[in-house]
Amino acid sequence: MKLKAVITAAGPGQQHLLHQTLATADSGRTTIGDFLLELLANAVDEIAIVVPAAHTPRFQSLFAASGRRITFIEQPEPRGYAHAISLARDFVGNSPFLHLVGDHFYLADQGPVSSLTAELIRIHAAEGCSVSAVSATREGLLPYFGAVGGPAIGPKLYQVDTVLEKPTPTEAERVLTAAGLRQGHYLCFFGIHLFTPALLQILAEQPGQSLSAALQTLSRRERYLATILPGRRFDIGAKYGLLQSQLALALGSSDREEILSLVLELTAR
Amino acid sequence: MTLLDRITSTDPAVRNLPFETWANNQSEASLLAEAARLDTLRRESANLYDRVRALVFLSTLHRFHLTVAASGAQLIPYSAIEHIRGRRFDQAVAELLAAQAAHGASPALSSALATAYRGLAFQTLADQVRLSVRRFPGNQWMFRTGHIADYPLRLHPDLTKPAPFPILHESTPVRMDLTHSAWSDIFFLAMDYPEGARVINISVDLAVRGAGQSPRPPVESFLRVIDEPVLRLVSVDLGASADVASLEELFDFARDYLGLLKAAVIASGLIPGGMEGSGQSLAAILECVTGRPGCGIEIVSQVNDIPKGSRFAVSTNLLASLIALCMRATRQIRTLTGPLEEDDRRIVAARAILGEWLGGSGGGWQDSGGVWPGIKLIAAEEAVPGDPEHGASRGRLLPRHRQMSDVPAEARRKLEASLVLVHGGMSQDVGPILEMCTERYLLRSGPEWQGRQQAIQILDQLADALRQGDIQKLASLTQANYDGPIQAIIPWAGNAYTEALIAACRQQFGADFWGFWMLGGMSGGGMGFVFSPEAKPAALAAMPNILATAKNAMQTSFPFAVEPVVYDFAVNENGTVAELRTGTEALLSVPYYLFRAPSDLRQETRLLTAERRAELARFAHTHRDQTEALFDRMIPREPVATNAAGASVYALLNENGFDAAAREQLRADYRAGRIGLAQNRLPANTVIEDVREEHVAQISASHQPAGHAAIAGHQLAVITMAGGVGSRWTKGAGVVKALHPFHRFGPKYWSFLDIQREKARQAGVPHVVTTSYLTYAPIAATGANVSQGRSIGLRMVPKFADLRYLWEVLPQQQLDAQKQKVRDSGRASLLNWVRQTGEASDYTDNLPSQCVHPVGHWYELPNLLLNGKLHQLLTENPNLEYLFLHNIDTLGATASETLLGQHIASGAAMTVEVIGRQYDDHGGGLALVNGQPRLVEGLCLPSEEIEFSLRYYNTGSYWITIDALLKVFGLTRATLTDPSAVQPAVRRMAQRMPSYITIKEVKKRWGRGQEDVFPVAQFERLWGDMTALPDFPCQYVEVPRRRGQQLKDVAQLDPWVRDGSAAEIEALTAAH
Repeated sequence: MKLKAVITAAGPGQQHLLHQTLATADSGRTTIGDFLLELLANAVDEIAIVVPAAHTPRFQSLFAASGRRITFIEQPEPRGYAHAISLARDFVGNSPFLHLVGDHFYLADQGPVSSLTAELIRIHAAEGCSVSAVSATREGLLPYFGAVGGPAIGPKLYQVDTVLEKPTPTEAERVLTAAGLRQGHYLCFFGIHLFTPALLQILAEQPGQSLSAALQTLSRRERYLATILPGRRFDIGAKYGLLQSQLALALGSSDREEILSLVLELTAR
Repeated sequence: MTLLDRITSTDPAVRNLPFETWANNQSEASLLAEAARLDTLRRESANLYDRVRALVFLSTLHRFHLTVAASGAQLIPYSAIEHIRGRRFDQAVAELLAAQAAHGASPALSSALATAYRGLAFQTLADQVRLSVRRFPGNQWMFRTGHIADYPLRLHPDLTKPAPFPILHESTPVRMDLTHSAWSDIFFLAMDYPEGARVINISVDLAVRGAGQSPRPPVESFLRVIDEPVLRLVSVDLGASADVASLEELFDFARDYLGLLKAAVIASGLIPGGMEGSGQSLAAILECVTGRPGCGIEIVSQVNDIPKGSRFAVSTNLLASLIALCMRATRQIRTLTGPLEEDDRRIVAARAILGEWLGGSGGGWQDSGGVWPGIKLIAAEEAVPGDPEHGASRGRLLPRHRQMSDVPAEARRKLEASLVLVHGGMSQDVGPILEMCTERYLLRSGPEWQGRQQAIQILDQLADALRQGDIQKLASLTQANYDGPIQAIIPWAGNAYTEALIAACRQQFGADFWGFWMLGGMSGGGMGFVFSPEAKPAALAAMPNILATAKNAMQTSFPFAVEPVVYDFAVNENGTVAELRTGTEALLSVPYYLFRAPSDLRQETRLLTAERRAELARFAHTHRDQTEALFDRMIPREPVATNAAGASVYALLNENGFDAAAREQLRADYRAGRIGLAQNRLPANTVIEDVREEHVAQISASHQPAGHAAIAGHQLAVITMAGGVGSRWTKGAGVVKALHPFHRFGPKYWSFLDIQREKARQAGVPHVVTTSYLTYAPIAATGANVSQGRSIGLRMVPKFADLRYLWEVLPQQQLDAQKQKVRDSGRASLLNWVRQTGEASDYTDNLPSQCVHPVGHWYELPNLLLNGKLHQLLTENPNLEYLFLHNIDTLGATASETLLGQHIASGAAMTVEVIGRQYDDHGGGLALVNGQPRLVEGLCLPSEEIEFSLRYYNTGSYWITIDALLKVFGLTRATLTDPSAVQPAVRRMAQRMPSYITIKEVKKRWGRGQEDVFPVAQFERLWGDMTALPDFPCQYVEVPRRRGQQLKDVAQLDPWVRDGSAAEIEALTAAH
């Protein structure tokens, strides 16, 4: 099954993130944008990137060498994350679509990073509903993520009944408990989703609502699942997020010993 | 049916059988066997409440039955006492049971076991409540967050936009308890007996009548971002503020008057409890939460004119208001403004319980009722699987609040048209009442259990009356509740003052007075009086006078904290509500600026932050009408007010023959360390041992005829010592203890003095009441035959070293961990107070009567010589040979013919009554000091361990042969009339008596019923030291405990009733 994918990169301060580069073990440098395309691999045949108004040329040049079919959708003014997704309605049509946030860098615990999207697609195919990747996240990071709660229906698979945007731990403890997590950990969005077109319908019905609110409606309207994927995500928009991504990438490569020595040397000074 | 069955049976008819029906008249062996079974149950049962009930049964069994039935004489091992002091109750029980196994049961061991089991029971219950609060969903994370990197809260973006920063304002009503519910909202009760825990609770707005304002939410709180990196806490009504710059300061609750605000900040999660001791920077947390470097938060609380002790749960609702405010600001509550949703109210209530625990206080689960709107039925709920309480207790921690929407608006209006709410002026600690209530519930004591069932029925009837709008019936039910179940469960919930008010209302308004309504844990503070709507205007007008008249009549015998007030009130239909003030409206309350602006204006303008300058300009622009009020705040009208008390104290001392030179010598000795707490002790080389059998006589009935003849021959007079002001009874409030009507026998409240006078009347002996400066006039006004006390001392600020010695060297009872922390913090503040005020300086910063002190009861008898009272007695009763001298609070002390006969037969100058020592008997006893038997005071013993090796405790009751007494003073009956002989004789004898420095607690009242307790140093001479005189031969007689025990503390009242002592007095009063 070939899917379409929507990447959002139009948020204030996000327009440069896809252009950031990370050093790889082969002495090359790869942009975050290219890492995202790697994530989509062959599962997707069409990609739309929502970009800020008048920024299309910059993004076109960034992906010029990728060889992928990419549509750039401009968000005329910064009206939020949910609005950015809703702009892709014509592009998506009436089909399920993958959605990635443009300010994250991903690593799989094992194998290629595309295995993460492959797993999401597999669950969607088996369950026939929207699936969001989530990560067990400690409560101190709740101010940075949307989070979901609901009963476990399989290994690392949850039926979502509650979605909250950046909840406080007070609220999370009351409504976002999920089986199998350590105390003080919650299912926070990983940044990769596979949505049915119902989401775009909900966004169209109530313009101006947040994505979390729309997802809460989605969970009530149809089955909506969340799964913990075997990987890690890094918010490159956060302070030292890019550094963290670089370290994680390098420590997972053949340069691990060298990087460890480097860090140790810096620490010992 | 054994006691064990009453705990383990599943049949309610068995479980609810009263404890007493089994325990009365059991043999020692049977009692011990049952105690052993209960001890096994309390160790092995998985059920928390079975364990707690077993512990309370054990405590009662030992305290009231084995202390009487046990035949052994083993003393309490000191190590067990140390365990009890350190709250290591389990270890104490183990040691005491080991001693019991080795030496047999004894009254002393059982008294200590009773204390340890009781401590363990309440510790177990408190731990369970604490655990439930911590486990309450939404509260847990706060105890895990200990690092800035884990800090998860951010302020609502609407609050962080500057110029000016918006202000979030929360206004909260207080709660009024309609049904009282027999204290069923105590957590321990509700969690064990959820089906019996229900209340009808009404949120109300208040205004003090006559202050020119209409009712409004009495509690307000404010929060805003400020451009300084501190947490600024301001209590407008207490006139206190602090810029908290470190976590250490924030967690120091008793450092200032801002403990409640600090508890709210922590309980709200704004600064989570897990941060305590983490070493994190408060400024960094503030930067994280505000998202603005260099910024902080200001939190302001304001209680509008409601005095302390109002019984409206003002402090809990203030705590809840502050918590709701902070939780809204940090987005833990969904709505920034407006009323709360039900889920949010529940989490606020749970956090308020946490806050109360942090602040070392506690209330019932209905107390945060002001958070909810209108009239609601609050009922406990059974715990179900999934609840944190499930498996531990039958009930949940938090009850369910249901709006009583079936109460029509007309009924609410009718209630407002009939009810007169007042504050009677008393502010009392209800803590002992709540403990008594819990204990009686667990024992299913007969009257308590019946009363509880009756109160449950009354609640249903009250709810019906409310629905029907039948306020007259409602009032008759609240009156019946007060007269019936409430006082059946806790007799001390009522008092003579309240009865006087009810009687006055009945007298003035007849059938138009519909009933009395007790509002909280006990009466005397916040109370309701219900009148017909037609009579209410007249009642409102009359009530201030009724209150003032009753208060003035009882001013000296009750601890009044404030002047009584009458309220206007209205039912609040919103609960707690918040609003956001922005732009030019971003101002706090006028009282806030009147409090804060003077200190700002005293600074140079350039030193104020830009925000502060702009804010003052806004205030000046919008509140020009406050110029005069601000002027008055900046330049106080009475700059010498603080000296007024001091000046009058010295005048009063001069009037009473205060010896200033002797005082200066005393101060010099105290400052130089020649006298002091540590110097009270006997020299280290003194040999102190327990007395032997031959030193203490047992009562022998054979002496009764001689005593009878002596009394019949008018040879005896009774002297009651009543110079004290009940330091322990009122925790330093300074009332005339003798006149305090502490208990009701039949229709009348009796004071200590009433009882002592009645005993003397029935014995047919002359009776003299000795007084001090503080108690003379009020006692003389009762018509008692009074000996005027003339000795007076001026209290001093204690020495730093003495306070350290008292708190750190002398053994102290540890409190529950959080309360101990608060106490330690308070003590650190008091040490600072000593530093600032000056060691050994005069204590004058209080009412004159709180600055002076009686100089010990040694003087009370010599005063009889000095003021001619003994001479008068001898003149009026020429056969008089003997005096029976005792304390006002030794209620069992009577003019016993047997003891008098025994005294006469011994030929001793003085016979001292002693009792076998039990756990609570602290403060000395009978000892062999260097081989000579004599009484020793606890404060002169080198260690407390020695005290507990002395088997006899002094009762303070003495039989004295008058001629022997005169002889030791160097006087005769003839020279008694010669002041030039008497005065030097008393002075000489006084010089032979040691002076002890003691530290007492004294209350200072301020504001609206607020109280501070200060330690003060005073000196005392004590009558017991007469036994050390070689030329004053004494004998010692062991008397029954009920005869010798003294009532020093309110908490002793319940045991006093339960051990049968009260019944003996009741028989006496019945003959009145």
